[in-house]
Amino acid sequence: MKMLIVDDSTVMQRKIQRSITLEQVTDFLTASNGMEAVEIFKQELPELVTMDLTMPEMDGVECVKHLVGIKPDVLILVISSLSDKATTIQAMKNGAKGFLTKPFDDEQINAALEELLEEAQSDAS
Amino acid sequence: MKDSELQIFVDSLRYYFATNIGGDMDVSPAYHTESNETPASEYTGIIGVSGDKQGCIYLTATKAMLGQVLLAMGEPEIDPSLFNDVIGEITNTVSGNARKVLGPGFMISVPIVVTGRPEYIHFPRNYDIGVVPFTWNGHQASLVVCLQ
Repeated sequence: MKMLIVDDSTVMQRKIQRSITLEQVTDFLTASNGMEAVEIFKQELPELVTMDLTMPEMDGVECVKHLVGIKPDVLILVISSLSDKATTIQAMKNGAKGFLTKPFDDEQINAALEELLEEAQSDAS
Repeated sequence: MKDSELQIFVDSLRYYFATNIGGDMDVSPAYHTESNETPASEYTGIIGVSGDKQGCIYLTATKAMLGQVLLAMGEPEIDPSLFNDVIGEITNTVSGNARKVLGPGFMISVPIVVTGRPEYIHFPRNYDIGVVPFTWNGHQASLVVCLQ
């Protein structure tokens, strides 16, 4: 399973990649803003995406809408420091399936992604 | 700026280091200042604030500290090209977390990073300035909150 990590911080991209221990995730792709994420997404069609919100060029809330338009069943976990309800609701309205607040530890990100995968599996069956 | 507002950022800073970095962090008492002579170190990550409040939040630290922070975050080696990135990311996260209390009207920009120790950072006179000095593993740094 391919995962696209969208974050304007290289340090965070690497931290997310190092943290993920799920066996299902075999390939990692990275993008530094929403525009770049859409381009990579079109070419690679990853099943999983982690999405930062505050980014230059195109922010995460807008990017979520684009990615869901391309592949409606994509599983998007928003990972952001913007820890207010309104932002969470907007991202979910646009098609994100989960929300994790920065900062997070390894256990939290793996649990959030596992939950996303389990929900997708139970919806499919 | 009320003490309780400044405390939001102190809590956010403590939480970031506890969750993402670890190590020994000691936060000195935060203080308000009317002086424009706020602390400034070798790397400074700045977040602009707009919406319900206007101003900025900045975190300033030495390159020695940022190198150690990168290692503590799991980087295999100290890469100076990541210093701008890491101080911007920490400032962004600490500022963004404040929205949990201050609400979505507390709007923040993407981070801007200044490299090199400026002599002074000047603010408009009608802004409240709160300074949060802290040490992490013996390295001194400061978080500065400047809001109208």
